[in-house]
Formats: sequence, C-alpha cells, structure tokens
Amino acid sequence: MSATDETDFSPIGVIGRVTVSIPADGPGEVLLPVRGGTEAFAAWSHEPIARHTQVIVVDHTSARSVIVAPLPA
Amino acid sequence: MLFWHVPAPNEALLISGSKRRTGDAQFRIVTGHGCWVMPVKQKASVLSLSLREAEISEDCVTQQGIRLGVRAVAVFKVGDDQTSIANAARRFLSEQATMEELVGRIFAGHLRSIVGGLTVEQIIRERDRVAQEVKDGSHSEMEKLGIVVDALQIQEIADTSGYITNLAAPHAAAVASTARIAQAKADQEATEREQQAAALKAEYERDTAIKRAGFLAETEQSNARAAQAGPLSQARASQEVIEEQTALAERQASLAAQRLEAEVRRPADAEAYRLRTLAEAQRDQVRYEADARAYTERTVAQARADANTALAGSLRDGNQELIAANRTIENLPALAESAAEGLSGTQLTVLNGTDGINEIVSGIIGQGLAILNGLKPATATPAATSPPADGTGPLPRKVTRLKQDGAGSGAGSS
Repeated sequence: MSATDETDFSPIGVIGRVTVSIPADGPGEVLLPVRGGTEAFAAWSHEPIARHTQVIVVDHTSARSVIVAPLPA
Repeated sequence: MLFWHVPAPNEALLISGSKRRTGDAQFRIVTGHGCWVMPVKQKASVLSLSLREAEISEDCVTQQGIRLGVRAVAVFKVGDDQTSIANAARRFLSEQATMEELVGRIFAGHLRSIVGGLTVEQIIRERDRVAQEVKDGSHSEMEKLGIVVDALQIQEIADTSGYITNLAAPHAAAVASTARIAQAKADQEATEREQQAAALKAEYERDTAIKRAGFLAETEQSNARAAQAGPLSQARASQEVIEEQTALAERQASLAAQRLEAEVRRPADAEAYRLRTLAEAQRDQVRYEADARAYTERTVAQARADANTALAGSLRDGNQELIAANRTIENLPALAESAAEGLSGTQLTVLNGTDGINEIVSGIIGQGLAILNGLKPATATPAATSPPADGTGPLPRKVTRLKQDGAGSGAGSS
C-alpha cells in the first residue's frame, strides 16, 4: 500500500532461476519473483552458472543488477 | 472523481509538487494504487510501463570480419522499480511517442557490438551466446535509461558476402550429392526391381502361356475325345449290331444248314440208306435166290442125279415099282393142282378160316396121298419109257413145270 514497500524493495535473499547462462566475466540473466510477478535482472557471479540453475541473490549492485550464487543443494 | 488519480497496471503516476517524495526523487512515483492530486499545487503525469518494440536494421561485422545485414527487433519496457521509472521519466516523459525510435537508435550501436562479439555460426546457432552478448553489450547502457530489454530477436540476416551460402555449400553439396546418390540408388533399385519384376512377369507370362497351352491342349484333347466319343460309341454300337447281325446270320446259316440237314440231307440219307438197304436187300435177295436157286438146282440136280442113279440102279436091279412110285411122286404136284382146279370152280364155303382151308387142303392132299398110295401097286411103267438119267426125258402129259424165278433149264446151274 505504502510507497516505502516499493522503494525499499530489495531482491537480496530471493531465489531465482538463471535464464541466460552467467559467464565468468559477464552478466547473465536471472528471473526473480518480484512485486507479485517475475522480473529479469542482470546477474553476475563468481563462477559460471548454467541455464535453468537455481540461484540465490546475495547482493545487488544497481536497481536491475544482482550478484548471485548457486543455490547449495 | 476529479482529483483522485488511479494509474493503470501498466502505468506509473508521476506526481510532482508533492511534499512526499520517493527517496531523494524530485517527484512522487505512484504505481498500483490511486492518490489525491491537488489541483494547481500538484501535477500528475503518466508514464506507460507497457511493452514497446524497436525495429533495428543495421550493417554489422561479425567477429570473423564478415559483413552481415542484420534486421532485429528489440522488445523493451520501462523497468518496474523506482530507479528505472525515475530514470525513464526524466528522459522520456515528454517523448514517449518517439521512445521506440530513440531506443532503437541507441540499440543499433549495441547490436553492432553484439554482432561484433559473435561469429556467424554463433549468431545462427547459439541463442544463449547471443542473449549473453545482448546483456553484456546493452545492459548497463539501458539501465541508465531505466529500460529493461526483454528480448532481442534477430529477424533476418542478409548475407551480402555469400558467407552463409558458402558455409552451407559443402553441406548443401553433400546433402545434394547424398540426395542424388540416394536418388540414383533408388532409381537403380527401382530399375532393378522393375527389371526383376519384368523378368518375373515374363517368366510368369511364359508359365501362364505354357499352362494355358497345356490347358488348351487338354481341353482340345477332351473335346476331341468328346467329339470322338459319339462316332466311337456309334461305331461300337454298329459293331455290336453287326456282330449281332453276324451272329444272327450265323444262327440263320446254321439254322438253314440244320434245316437243310433235317429236310434234305437226312431224307436223302434216309433215301440213300433205304435205297442202299433195298439194293443190298435186293442184292442179298438175288444172291440168296441165286444161291437158293443154285442150291435148289444143285439139290434138284443132285436129287435127279441120285434119282437117276437110283433109277439107273433100280433099272439095273429091275426095281420097277419104285420107278412107278417115282413117276407118281413126280406127278403128285400136278395131281394136287388138278384137285385145286377142281376145288376152284366149286361154291365152297369154308368155315373155320384158314384152319378150314388147311383142313380141306390137307384132306385133299391126304386123299391125294391115299389115292397115290392106292395107285402105287397099280403103277407099272415099262422100262423103255424110263426117263433118261439127265432128267431130260419125256415127262408125263399133265406135268406142269414148277415156275422157278429166273429158271431156264435149271440143271447144272449151281
């Protein structure tokens, strides 16, 4: 209801799915459940992550960019 | 309501002049719910968050330095988060209609860098790599504009240098050759099969023809047999008829022969037999008669001779009486005949049949004999009148000669 919900929304801790495989040196894409829908974020990672892998957002560098890590099995 | 503004789900309401601000933004961003907008004091504008597309047509050079004419469609929207909405609002709020064009121009450069980071093969084959490059090349730039690129679709690649064609050529040639080989093989096989089929067909036709000919021959044979059967049976029948007729003729012939035998030969034989028998009988009779005559004559001659001898003897001895008796005996038959002549003239009824007659005859003969006996002493014949010894002397007057069949002078005829 309040605007603070939208403003203070942080995708950290959200579990998403890789839609474009993340290379070691460049961004991939993750689909994160955000605001009742799913949105695509550019994602970086310390290690290459293949498509369709479950990842967890560990940090976000900008509004549309996140750092993800593979979800420990 | 006049002052109550509610944005659509794909819109963001930007209210400027409001005291309440989102973070450090100069305006208030409202999404998903309505809010009051004070007239005069506040101003509300709407930023569409809906999907937009930009068509890009660009000459790009690939990683290998190959020039391609790429036509792509970039699908983008204003990001849903505050930052993106703020960025986009600051840039595009008054140019929302030309937003696609602007973004498309911006994206064209990105497309060049995207294509430049890929090879033709990757562009064609590796969607993931293309998406990565799109992210890599455009993400930070677009984020500045508050835009999220949902998809970049390469619609067409114009192969101006013929690289893709050449790339495809070996495969195409291989495929074509394979196709041709397959076609040739198929043709060959089809031809072989056709030839085999034709050969088999010919074989079957030959077999069929042979069989048909065989059947035809059989049919003809049967027909001929059937056609022959009539005449043959007719011939057989006529043969039987002829045989029967022959048998009949034979029977008739035998019947005729039998009849001939019965009617002609037997009677003829009988006649012949009769004649022969008669002839034989006659012959025998003649012979016997001759014999008898001869015998008789011989006997007579003998008797005469004996008589003559006796006569001669008696003449020598002077036995006159005997001679007279002899003469009487000689004349006895004549006597009997004259008695019979005497009887024949009489009206004599003879009783007792043949016995009566016999009695009469015997009586007569007895009488004759009595007469003869009475006469015996009275008979005296002179010796001069004795008959000659050969019996040819003079006979008494009333001696009738006994008739003898075939008698001439019977003496010496034995």
